[in-house]
Amino acid sequence: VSERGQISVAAVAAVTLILLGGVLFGYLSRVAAGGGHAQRAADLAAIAAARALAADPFAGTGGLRAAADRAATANGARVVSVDVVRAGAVPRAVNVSVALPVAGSAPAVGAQRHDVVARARAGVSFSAAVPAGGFRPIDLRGGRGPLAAVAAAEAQVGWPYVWGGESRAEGGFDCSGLVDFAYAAAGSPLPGRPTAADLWRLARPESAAELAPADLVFEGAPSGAPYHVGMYVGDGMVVVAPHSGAQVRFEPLVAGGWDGFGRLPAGASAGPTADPVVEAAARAHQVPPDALAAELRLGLATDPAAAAARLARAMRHHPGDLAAALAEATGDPSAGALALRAASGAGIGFAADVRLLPLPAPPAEGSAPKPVATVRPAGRRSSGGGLGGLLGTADTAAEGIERGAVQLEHAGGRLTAQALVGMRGGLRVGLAGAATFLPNRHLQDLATFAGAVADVVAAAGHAAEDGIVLAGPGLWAARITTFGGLFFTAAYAWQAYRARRREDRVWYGVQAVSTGVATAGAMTAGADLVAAGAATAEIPPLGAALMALGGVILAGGCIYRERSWLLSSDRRASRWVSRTAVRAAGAVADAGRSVISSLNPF
Amino acid sequence: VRRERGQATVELVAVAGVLAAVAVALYTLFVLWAAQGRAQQIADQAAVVVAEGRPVPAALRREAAVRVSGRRLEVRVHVTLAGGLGRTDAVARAILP
Repeated sequence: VSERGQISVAAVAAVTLILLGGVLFGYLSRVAAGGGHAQRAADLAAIAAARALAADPFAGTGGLRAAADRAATANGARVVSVDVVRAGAVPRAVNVSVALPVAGSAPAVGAQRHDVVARARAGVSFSAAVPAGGFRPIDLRGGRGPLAAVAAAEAQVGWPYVWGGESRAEGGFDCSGLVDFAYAAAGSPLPGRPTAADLWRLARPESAAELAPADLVFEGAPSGAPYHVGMYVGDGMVVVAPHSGAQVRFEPLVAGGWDGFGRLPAGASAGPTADPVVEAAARAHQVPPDALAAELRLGLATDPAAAAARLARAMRHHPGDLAAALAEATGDPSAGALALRAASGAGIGFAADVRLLPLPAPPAEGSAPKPVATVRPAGRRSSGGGLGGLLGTADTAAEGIERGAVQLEHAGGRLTAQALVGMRGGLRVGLAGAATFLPNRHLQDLATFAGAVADVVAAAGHAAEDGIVLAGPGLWAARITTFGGLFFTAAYAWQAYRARRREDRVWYGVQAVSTGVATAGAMTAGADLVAAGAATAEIPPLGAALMALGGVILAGGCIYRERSWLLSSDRRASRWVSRTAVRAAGAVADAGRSVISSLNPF
Repeated sequence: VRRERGQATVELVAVAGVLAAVAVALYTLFVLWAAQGRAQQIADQAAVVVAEGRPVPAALRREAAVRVSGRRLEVRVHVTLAGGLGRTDAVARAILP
């Protein structure tokens, strides 16, 4: 018996398989990288949107989407959705979803193009602090004149009295310092640094009945040099820095012993007016109305009286620290900081911290969103009984695996559904390897049969649709397999010619015919399959049908060759088949788990 | 039959050589693939921390050369091939927001 060429044939087969495996491995890595790219694009888009939100906490979704889109586009993806997670009006996080197109092809499934969708969430938290060396800035929202002076004075409620003081830098205000500060903040600065007596001289005297908001009230006026001054704020109330050991506060006009009243020239009032309900609640609880209004405006509270009571309690816990008081009152430092900024305007020390956050847990079963990406080779259909039933079973099994991959994709975020395409290709190569290297002839034929069925399923699906579009690694794999197919067709034909037993002649002949038919099917792609410069090649439906026919012939050959074994009634053989099937199923499961683990970086 | 003596041995030696060359090539490809994947991972992590306004962790800098130039972030992982016979870099890039 001549053994010439046996090792060479095996070596060529092994090298071909290794090359095919390498092509598929490359495709897999490309697909996995595509998933990683999508996740990175999502991460950076979410951070970009959160940074835009940090710069403008009240920015609309359009502005955030533009920021996210710039980051996503720069990383090869496009934004699918942007939504802001808010508590009231306070932004907490931005959820961004991006899609990154991944294209490629693999043997047996042809060209695939899908959007890999990735999601990310970036959180934003705010912090604010009153500048250490100055008074708390006030956002008068364009207001000027007497009412603005009232708002500026009221905003200082809670600061301590300091004799001679006119700012936070000095630790607080004295009575005339508060008036001086308020008029300056309202755009009507007073000359010099007036004392209460100076203010009395600057003011036009009036009666108590004529008092209007921002008018001044004095003690000691009959002497011509009053020693105390406050500001009338309306509704029978005065805001005043009373005396050492006390804080700027509201007092009823009738409780102060005021004996002189006057009006400073401050022009007409302009700008927004205060909400009387908020003003009343703030005065009743001795809290700055602007801070209370900011809380309500941001949706951090709904009941002005209750919110004022909470803020008053917090201010007692944190004297002189309105930022800490607002954090306690709102129950959230970030919300408190945003309220302080809303009340104080851009002049306050305000910062935002942006961090990538874990995505929330997926919704419960039953409310799960539609899978973001699935791979479904075009035209794959089950077709009834007989071979159709077999294909249907295989199709169902493939869909089960596909669903599993999609679930893994949701869980892990990076195992793309496209990876399944490569996994199928890898399994097909594994079957070819098993058919060559398994020690038992029956197992070899079983693997060959399984591979043939897989080929039939894939090729029949493509034949029913638009054929197979080959590109990239898939095109090269097709080129290699076509040349390999020609070689093996000739090799099998030669072996059939040389075989002495009828059984062997039939078997090798079947393999030669099936390989030849399938190769002829692939060659219907024409010159593009051979021309190395071609980027794509297309196998028409007729070619796909020939490839399916080749698979059918091979599967039939396997059944013919193993007819005795399959029909054997020997119980030991049946038990052996059962045991082997169970072991094989376990091995396939282990291999699948290993492949999935290796693909999933998490 | 005499003329075929040693034929299998000759073929075996040739096949062993071919397989060894293929194995080295595949191993080299694998090393490059693994380095490229790691570079990509580092680029992903570094891009996120830089975008958040934080410095690149020292652990990442020890493993790869991370360079930020404007909005471009580039990561280079040094790769030694075939037992030191060759050297190259696996490069990954990201565009910062």
